[in-house]
Amino acid sequence: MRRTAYRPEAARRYLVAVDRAASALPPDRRAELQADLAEHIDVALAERPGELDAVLAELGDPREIAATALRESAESGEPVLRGRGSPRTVIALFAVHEAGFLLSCLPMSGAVEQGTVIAFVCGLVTLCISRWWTAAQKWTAVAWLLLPGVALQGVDTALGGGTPASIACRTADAIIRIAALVWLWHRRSAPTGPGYAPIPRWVKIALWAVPIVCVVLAIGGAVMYSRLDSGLTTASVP
Amino acid sequence: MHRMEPGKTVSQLRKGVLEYCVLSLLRDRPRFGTELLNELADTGALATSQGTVYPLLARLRREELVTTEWQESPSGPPRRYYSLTPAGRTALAEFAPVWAEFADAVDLLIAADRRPSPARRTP
Repeated sequence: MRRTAYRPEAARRYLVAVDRAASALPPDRRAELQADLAEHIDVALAERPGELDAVLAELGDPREIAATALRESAESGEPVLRGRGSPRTVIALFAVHEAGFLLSCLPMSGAVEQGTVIAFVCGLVTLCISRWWTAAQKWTAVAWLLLPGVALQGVDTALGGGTPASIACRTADAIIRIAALVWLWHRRSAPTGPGYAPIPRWVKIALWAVPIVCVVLAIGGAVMYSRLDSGLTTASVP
Repeated sequence: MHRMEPGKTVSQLRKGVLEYCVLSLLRDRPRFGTELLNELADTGALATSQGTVYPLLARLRREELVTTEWQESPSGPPRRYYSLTPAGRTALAEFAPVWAEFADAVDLLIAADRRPSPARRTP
């Protein structure tokens, strides 16, 4: 029944912004919201040609619209889809690792990197069980997160591990992984199918405690070790 | 000290009554989406960012308080007209006395605050 009107790029971007902010809505609600807003834009543009900016400004902030839709959905008792392995958790865990990795260029912080490897492993596990990505997307992300690092390590070793080459390799490695994370974030999409109960708070706290304790222990261990080491060195000097 | 945030208070007030305002606008005749939103904007206090009304309209459709029908327009794309269902009309009729009572009660209290109460002034 509806003719699809020509829709300007700015309008398309606006609709994508709403859709992204509303990604936790059940899929049919999401589609409904898109259809309603697209219809509004088409009709308003037919009434006031050339005033796209004003039309979009009157529609308001995409996040506010999405928040209203989520509230309506929650009030009508529909389960809001959250799903295991929320994108935010996955990205946060990988980001912790990345921060540790970048910090490890500083002296005396090799242990920090070792600690954040735990965060990386937790990130991989969360990504694995997450329902926000397809299997193909997960494999692609894991490949880009792991393989370039291995390859660059090989290059680094082949070059003899000189400092400038090593730094270049590590930087390239980090950039590739960050790019993979950005890609992953943009590809996220709310799981379809029946909603399920969110993970209880105490389970979440316990799950987060594991990497945090590991990081703290690793840092603590490194500090102790370096003190012991310097103590021994000074003691051995006559 | 508590400061009233006008924007926030108005938006809280609006949240509760907006759906009945939408139903009221449909009482006399069907209207299409942008028309409905312009009418709301014209009232002043009910003006809101227009996009947030669509989730509400979607709920009214789901609850079958309104129905929609596509109609061709002489200019531009076809428009979806919203009209009241009998259930919508009933909901509106039930809300009218509730609102009258509510508004009276609030008026009474707010007005009492404005003029000095003789009972409280005597020691």
